[in-house]
Amino acid sequence: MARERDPRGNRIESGVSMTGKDDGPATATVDPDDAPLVARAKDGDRAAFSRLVERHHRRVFNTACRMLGDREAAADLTQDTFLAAWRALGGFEERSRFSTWITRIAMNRCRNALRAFAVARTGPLLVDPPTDPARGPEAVVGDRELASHLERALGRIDPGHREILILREIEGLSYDELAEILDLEAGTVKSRLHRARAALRELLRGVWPP
Amino acid sequence: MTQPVCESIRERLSALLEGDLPPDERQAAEEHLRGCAGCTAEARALRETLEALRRLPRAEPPADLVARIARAVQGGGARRAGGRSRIRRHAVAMLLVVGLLVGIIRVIPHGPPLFGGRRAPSTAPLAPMEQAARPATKEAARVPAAKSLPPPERAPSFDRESSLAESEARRDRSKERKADIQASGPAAIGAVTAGADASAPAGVSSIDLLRHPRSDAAWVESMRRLIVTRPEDLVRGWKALDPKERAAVLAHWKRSAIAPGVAGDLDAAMQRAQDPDLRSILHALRKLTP
Repeated sequence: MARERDPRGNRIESGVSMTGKDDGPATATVDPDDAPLVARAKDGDRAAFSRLVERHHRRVFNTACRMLGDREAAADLTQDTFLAAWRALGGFEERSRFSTWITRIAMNRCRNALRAFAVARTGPLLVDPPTDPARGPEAVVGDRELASHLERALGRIDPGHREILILREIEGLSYDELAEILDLEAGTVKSRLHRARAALRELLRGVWPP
Repeated sequence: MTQPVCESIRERLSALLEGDLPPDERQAAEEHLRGCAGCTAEARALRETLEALRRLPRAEPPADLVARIARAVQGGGARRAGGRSRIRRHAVAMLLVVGLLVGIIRVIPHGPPLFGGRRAPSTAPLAPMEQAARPATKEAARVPAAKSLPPPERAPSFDRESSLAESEARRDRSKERKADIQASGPAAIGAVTAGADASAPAGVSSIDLLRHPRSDAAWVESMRRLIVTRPEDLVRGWKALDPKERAAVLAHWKRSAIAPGVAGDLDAAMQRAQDPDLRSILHALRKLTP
């Protein structure tokens, strides 16, 4: 199934089929070759590292935001993640992409944070859906309601399920990337994803779809 | 009412959507869906849920986040390509573990010199080893054991690529533990060494001395073996380092921390820890007590 992103970085689905096998990396964002920047950053070039930050901080922040359910904590975690990466860059052997590596660091930190702070989102929406006046007020209300249901469900679901749903469904990562970030066997990735989806459906049963 | 076959199909809906079912199972599932309105509705609901999840708007980071990170990298980002900072980091981790150990000793003010070393003449008569498990002061008795710290991580093994990130994560957990202690009030905090402790490696402002719930004699003995007598066993597990670096960690450790195997020094640390005038814990420049 083809996945693209609109200018805001939101993924656009096209041609969703019941059996759309998805082999390749699911992310369709342009993944520029980070290797030269990584090499320069390893030599202590802070400007090169800043370029890497610019390229990848949105994903790290969004992932953390969805994992932790808190924008401020997500911003702190993003900062700590990149600082840790900067310090650890000497040990990064580039067997994986920089984006995968940084996401792995962030996810480990999210897990640690979640051990300390239980997340149960009941507050206002973390991210307001964009309002498109052309779609009419009912649709706008519907979008907000759906986003609210999803955010609550993500806040309540087991963190192990939450992380794989965020990385796969929201960030659009491939199975290989999931395996590496979550430190799982390829077969386990799939079964965990399927269980996570089923768990999400259970949480939304009777709530959505209406 | 759902039939057993429906339940079996519903368990496979996600795999079906993802295209992960083997051809025969996929064919059977699709055939079932054609004849079962309930399962078809479930499949649609799952698909629509996932589509909605994928459409969730992205959280936009604060406008100044990139600049904040740049400042953090600029300010606190001293690092090194080579082994030096990694060695420092591991040495610090080791020091923290010893801090935990010394914290245990601290709850036995009148106990024996656990490690059989020199003892200052002013201390009370020796007591049996079993006293290690007994909180000996009112302050210690107030500490809820269950609330306290998880066991320190032992002999961590790293994969090279993410070792330092993992090390960072461990340090974070350590911070979280301390935050937890802080939340439970000063009574939960073991004790301390002075800020400019000569036994701390450069860059470490003090040794953390924390009480540990598992302060039974057997655990103390196993930690003693691991940290004091044979630190090389601990360091051997640090696969992220090559042998030279591991040797350097050990050398650094022996040079600057409480010397392994020197039981008297640990005893002295214990006595310093009992000094009521010492009253603060510093960790990463963060003061945890007044």
